[in-house]
Amino acid sequence: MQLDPEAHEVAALAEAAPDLSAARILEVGCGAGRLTRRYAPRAGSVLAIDPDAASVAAFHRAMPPPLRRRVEVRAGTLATLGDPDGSFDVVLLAWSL
Amino acid sequence: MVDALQRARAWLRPAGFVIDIRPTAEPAYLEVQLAGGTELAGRVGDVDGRTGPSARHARADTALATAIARHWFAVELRREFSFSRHGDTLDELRDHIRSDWRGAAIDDAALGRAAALLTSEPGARARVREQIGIARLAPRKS
Repeated sequence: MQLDPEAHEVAALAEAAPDLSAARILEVGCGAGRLTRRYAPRAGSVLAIDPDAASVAAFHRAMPPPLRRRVEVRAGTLATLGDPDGSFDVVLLAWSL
Repeated sequence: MVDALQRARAWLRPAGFVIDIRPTAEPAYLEVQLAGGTELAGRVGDVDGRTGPSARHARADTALATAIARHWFAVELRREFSFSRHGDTLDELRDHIRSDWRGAAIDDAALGRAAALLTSEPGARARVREQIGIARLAPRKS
């Protein structure tokens, strides 16, 4: 299965958020990291969350080593993440609203 | 869903923004790509009107409209793009939709049309195409 081989999604994200190089990003609904892997190389740091623990575990296992320095993955939702601390430059609702 | 937008806003720095990516209310389509162009085989339908994609997308649209009406966000940018899933076989596409999309399925008539199109010429490829919306939402001061 090939998903978005034309890379329309990542192009649209680049238009909506042109410079993520220093951004602290909270991605909600990361699943197994399909979208995260596409934009994270040009991001500052990413906290990626998803309620499906199995997907999160799969993402963590398959994460390319260069991304491990900048991507943290957790099982959870916005409701379980803790008290909001206003610390993110971008909250990315990734097919999750 | 409105709660999720409120929580997202609370996690943002004052100059931050929310990016909302998700399918639009337009149905997804099963298509076959041929040398002469793309042929429509059918729609990806809702198995259950309450939990299927159409209902979920409508609820998300309502939530976002509510958040904007409450002056939590201003829409800074809104775009749409097409997102395609290409399967090596029709069975692969059908199984993918069945397992990964909640409350949606490709009906047998659409699969039959696609199968006929796929056999009509070598190199034909099947895909599911959906329309995706992306919006950048800037938090407004309370």
